[in-house]
Amino acid sequence: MKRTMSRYIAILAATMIATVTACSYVVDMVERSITKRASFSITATYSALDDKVTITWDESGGGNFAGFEIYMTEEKDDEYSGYIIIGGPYNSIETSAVANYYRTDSNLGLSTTRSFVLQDPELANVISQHGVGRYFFRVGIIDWDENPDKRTVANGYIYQAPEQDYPANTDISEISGLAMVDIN
Amino acid sequence: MKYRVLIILMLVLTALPVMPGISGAAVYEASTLHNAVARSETVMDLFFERWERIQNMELYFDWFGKINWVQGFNINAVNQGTGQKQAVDMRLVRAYGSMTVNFPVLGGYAGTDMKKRLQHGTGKYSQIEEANGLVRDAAADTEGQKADEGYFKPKSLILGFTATGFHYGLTREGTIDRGSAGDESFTDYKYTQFFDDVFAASLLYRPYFHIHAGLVLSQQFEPRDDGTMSYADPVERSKRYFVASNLLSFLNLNATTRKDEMESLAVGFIINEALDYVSKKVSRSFPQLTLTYKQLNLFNDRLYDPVWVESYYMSDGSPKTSAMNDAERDEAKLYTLSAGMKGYLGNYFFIDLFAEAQKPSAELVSRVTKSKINYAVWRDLRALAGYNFLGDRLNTGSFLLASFGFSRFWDPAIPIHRDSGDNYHVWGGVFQLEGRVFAGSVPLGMQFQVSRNYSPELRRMVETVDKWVYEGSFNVSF
Repeated sequence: MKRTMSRYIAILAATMIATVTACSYVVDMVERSITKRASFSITATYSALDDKVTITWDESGGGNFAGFEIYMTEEKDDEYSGYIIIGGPYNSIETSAVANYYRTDSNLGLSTTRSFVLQDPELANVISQHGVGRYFFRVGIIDWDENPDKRTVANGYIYQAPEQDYPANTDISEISGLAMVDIN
Repeated sequence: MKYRVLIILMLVLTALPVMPGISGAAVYEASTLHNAVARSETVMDLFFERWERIQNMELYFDWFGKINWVQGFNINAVNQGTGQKQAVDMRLVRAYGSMTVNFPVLGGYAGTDMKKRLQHGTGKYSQIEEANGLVRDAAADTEGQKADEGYFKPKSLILGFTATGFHYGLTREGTIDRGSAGDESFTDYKYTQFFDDVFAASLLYRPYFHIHAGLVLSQQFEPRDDGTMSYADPVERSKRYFVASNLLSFLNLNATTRKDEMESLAVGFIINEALDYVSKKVSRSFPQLTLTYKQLNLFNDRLYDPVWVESYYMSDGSPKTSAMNDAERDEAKLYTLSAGMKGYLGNYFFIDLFAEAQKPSAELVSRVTKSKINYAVWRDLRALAGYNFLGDRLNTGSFLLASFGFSRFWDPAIPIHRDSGDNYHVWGGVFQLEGRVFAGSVPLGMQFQVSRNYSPELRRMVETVDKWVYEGSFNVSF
């Protein structure tokens, strides 16, 4: 009888804990995962002396971490402008549309990396094409779309090499909020 | 990977389309969202809606999720790039989740398998069904049990716990060019985010009574300028306590209190269940008929109310403002009386008819026109008809119901939010698909709905007037 009561009390306690967590925060977390809501903050600072923008963050990658990516607004003085990639771990990410601004930094392939620097010639290209002004930056945490044991040719990892497989087999897992910088 | 598959599965199952909305009102003005009384009513209605399903299906476990996206909110928002305001297209997110766990302290529901319980009909405690040899003698079931057990010797005593939560808020979607990795989108929180939760304990002493009691917790959060948000620091938090009971299956009594004041009171009468006490073969085959009286302290001269109570002027003759102190605020109740008829006619046809009359306890003055509002008698009129494509399998719990409905809804906030016109009422419509299938013995329910100005949606949030609403939901229960 005592054991039965203990079991009921344990089940009740577990249920109460479970029900307390199944509330508005949980459904928000599900929805924000689906729509990739900005989930962590970053900082960005511009040094006129060194003519560079330094972006820093505190987050690490997860189990399927593929790399960090750095994004910047396409237009100056426009918070609502679209973003383009300016930093990533592999050359294979670069396309002609982002070639003037994109820089490969292999450190972005490490989960421990916490900063990225935008400098010349990419920064000079930004200024020459869009002018000085206010720009916005974000950091993306990128995951492989399969667990390590499923990264097979049949699942689209046709090169069996991270650099070549990266473009077709990764997604944004987490994205930061924006960080604003005035580039003079 | 499993996480991603689950998300994709949810998306497919709920068939949530991200479709472009019809252009919205020029400027979004929150009203219902900032009214915690109205929001607590909304989350309580969802709690009751869930429990109605739990009671009908005799569930021990119920998990329900719903995501509702409303497009086309054009907001005059500050662009941090220029410091100037500009029209920005945003999306209203309404996400709802609920989980209930019931423990059979004594006895429990009839049958051990969900499908077997559903074979009794819809799982009602003393349902009379003849399907598949599961014939039960109603007189023996009811009178016999009463004689054997007595009111104080229950053989079906169930204890339940429920957490129900609702998140509302605006988000903005942005795009990212990831080079050769393609384009992706992301979203930011924008403006105040509202989180309402119900935590409830329930006791079911079947079929004589059940009672729910608990807490409604309403919280508001302000996102950071970078589009992120922390759950740790609400800018506003309020608590309400509620008790909801049902006696003899046909009499509902619900009340919500805040700071020692009764904020809402509802008395409901389920006619079929009452008739069941008179004639046990009449009531069950007919759609459920309900009569409900409600009073709600809805109007209180707060910031986002669409009306002033009693007068546009304070006692000293100066115009009311939202910044006036509490002593100067007037309050008014809204009384409503509603009648509903909902359920299957046979196994194939479904109807849901609803009419609600209203009367405020004091004169109300429009904040837009500064003149007295002639409150319409009818607040909500709606009719919905559906066809069940799996009518021959309804007795085993499976169904696929396609429904069309229309409604007329009256609310003093409608002229504020509608795209054009100044009427206090709108006509609306809905199309919905709802189904239930079984994975083994576990029922999986899904629903997809598209609506515009349909009254149940406007009751939840009047700001959605003149906008298309897309909604998908998914539930697991056993």
